[in-house]
Amino acid sequence: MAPEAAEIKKAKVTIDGREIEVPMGTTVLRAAKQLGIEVPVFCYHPGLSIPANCRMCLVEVEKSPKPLPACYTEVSDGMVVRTQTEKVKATQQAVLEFILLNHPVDCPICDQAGECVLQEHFVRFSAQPSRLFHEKIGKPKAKVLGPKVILDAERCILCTRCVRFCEEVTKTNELTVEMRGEHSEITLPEGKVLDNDYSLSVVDICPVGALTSREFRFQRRVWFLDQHASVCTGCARGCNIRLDSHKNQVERLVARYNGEVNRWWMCDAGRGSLAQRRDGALKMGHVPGTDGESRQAPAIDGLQTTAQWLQELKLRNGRVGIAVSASLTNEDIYAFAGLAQALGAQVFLLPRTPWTGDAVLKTADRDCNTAGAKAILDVVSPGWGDAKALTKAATQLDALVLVDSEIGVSDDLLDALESIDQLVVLTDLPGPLADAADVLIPLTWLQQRDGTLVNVDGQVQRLAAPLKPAVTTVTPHAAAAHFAHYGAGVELDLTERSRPDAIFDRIAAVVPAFAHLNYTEIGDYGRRLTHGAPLAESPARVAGTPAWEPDPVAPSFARPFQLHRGAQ
Amino acid sequence: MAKVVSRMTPDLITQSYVVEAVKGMVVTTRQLMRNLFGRKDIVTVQYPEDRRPYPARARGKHRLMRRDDNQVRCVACMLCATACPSNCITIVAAESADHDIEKVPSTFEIDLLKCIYCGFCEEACPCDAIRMDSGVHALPTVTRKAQKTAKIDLLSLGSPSIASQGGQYRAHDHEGTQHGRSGH
Repeated sequence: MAPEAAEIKKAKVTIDGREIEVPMGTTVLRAAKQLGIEVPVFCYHPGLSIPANCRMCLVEVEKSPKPLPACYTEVSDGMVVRTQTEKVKATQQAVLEFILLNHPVDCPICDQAGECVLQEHFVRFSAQPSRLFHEKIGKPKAKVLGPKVILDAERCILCTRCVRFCEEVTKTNELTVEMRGEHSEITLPEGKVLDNDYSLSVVDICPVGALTSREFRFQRRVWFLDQHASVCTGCARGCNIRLDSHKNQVERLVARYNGEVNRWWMCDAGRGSLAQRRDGALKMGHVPGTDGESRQAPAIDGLQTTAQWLQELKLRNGRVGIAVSASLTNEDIYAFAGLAQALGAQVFLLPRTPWTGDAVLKTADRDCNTAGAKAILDVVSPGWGDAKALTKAATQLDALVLVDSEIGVSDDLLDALESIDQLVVLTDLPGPLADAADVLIPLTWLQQRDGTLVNVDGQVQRLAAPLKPAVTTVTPHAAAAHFAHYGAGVELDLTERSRPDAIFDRIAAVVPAFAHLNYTEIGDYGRRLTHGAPLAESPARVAGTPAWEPDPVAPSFARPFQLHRGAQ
Repeated sequence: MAKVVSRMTPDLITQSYVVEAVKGMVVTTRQLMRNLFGRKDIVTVQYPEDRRPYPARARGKHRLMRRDDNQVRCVACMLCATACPSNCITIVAAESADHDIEKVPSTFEIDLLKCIYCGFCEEACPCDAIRMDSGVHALPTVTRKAQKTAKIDLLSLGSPSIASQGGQYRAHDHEGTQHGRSGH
């Protein structure tokens, strides 16, 4: 702990008969959480300011005439809090009855059903039938707020999490509360549209089914989804995600809490980053046929043809180049760097076309592993070149193996590549590079393989293979090992050819920056690249974000689904 | 432990089989005469000309019920597909063109080859939209695909339901008022 921590005054609190010492300024809710006592909440979100407007977290405090909101009340020395008394239970029941008064209770057609905080709290804390005999108040249903988000004002419980998100995180102020009392509703001020780059985060934090994603709306009931912990590969931030799939089909990406990387948020572009692959990823490549025309072929045919070419080039001392994209895992980069060494080839690192970053999460660099690729190549293949170097060197190359996830190709580069006799492209998406290739080998997507990525701040994180690959595709590091064995006649320095954990152990042994890391210890939240280095000042990181803070959107005591922990 | 059974040794008359054969013919002829003249409680049914009535609660082919305006009652909540132990129900939900209805099934398909006729789907349905009381058999077909029963076939057996759409609390809604929706 930092030295100034000693000066912070501590307070002794008793919650439900158990004593705990916490720094002054801690709220009752957080102190209770540290004791493992769950206080139900709707409006409280650890990433936002505290309005204490839902009143769900009311607890009894000794010497206080009325129950106090646990989320807002700060502890004081000698405070005695009770969260399980009859009075608290009656309060919770009354609050729920009040919230549900005009709620349509249309759970069967509500997309949130199954992951709804109101459902969970009702079953747990109230479970009483409605006593309302009036007509319920009607509000707009299926009101479009923006290109991505749709609002059902009747389901809204007015917790204002979405309003606070737009005020405090994106600072775009698109949402506001209109009218008063029971007629209050979330709405857009005149002339505004909810179209900021993080608009789908309000769907994440909405505790009920009021805000839903227009893309995911009605697509799948949530209890059919398999949930996997993984990492977003849309930009260099590497936001932690929960990938929800159904029958191996990706359905949606949801932000997963990581205090070091993305906290609770994630951008809309990242959520859509797999749509292109879901709709049209390469399953088949092509190889030159006997009649000179190219024919469709699975990865194995392309691997064999390429290995044969490499063998012939070796006999006549041909010049081979290897170009990798920075959107590959560390294991892939290391394997191809090893192959380049075996072939005596030069390595080129090609980036994606950058976009504009912002102050919240998005980085201008769209490659998810630039930091890792550079760290490895600096050690294994010093003297690696960039896209310009490849354009210059292309005319002298006999063959080029280009490993790409989504390389941004300029016309200059495409022209230069045309002069290469034998162009082998490994990729998972159709595009100009795939069309230009003499041999096209379909790759697995990043989310279909296990491996590690290093984000812009040096956080090493695991992809953990949430999806299964198509049988006709190949993983890049396995392809590299195949080329080395059959093309160059050498075994790569990999203990087992297609095991990312074995390759990672080799990286840890060879590359000093990785030396302190262990594949299994990376876990769900990742590890820093350089041991003991101070954490980078990323805008995502807020000092003092407590490590215990879980994802508050789904109540942790009633998490309905088991999160898959990846292939371990 | 083996049990010793002594073999029956029939006498000569029995061994000749003449008397025994005549005895058998008497039984057969008596049954024939009874069936020809008089008796009505014959066990055999002349299927398919004659059919026995099904018990009142027999589960037949599924049917989708209709609203008063003949639209499908189903709101695509997928509770039937969730309850189904054989995963034979495939529903694709869509936005409804009708302002009062939020969600409708754009396809509703039941694979009768997978269905085990347990009736969980009609138990799970909150809208009285799916029923198995049609009393119609699933008939054999030449292809497997023909057993996938689409929404239009399921609706063709359907009829309006007397249940209030949206459950009992919606019964308080007044028709014609602004908020008197019947959409859920």
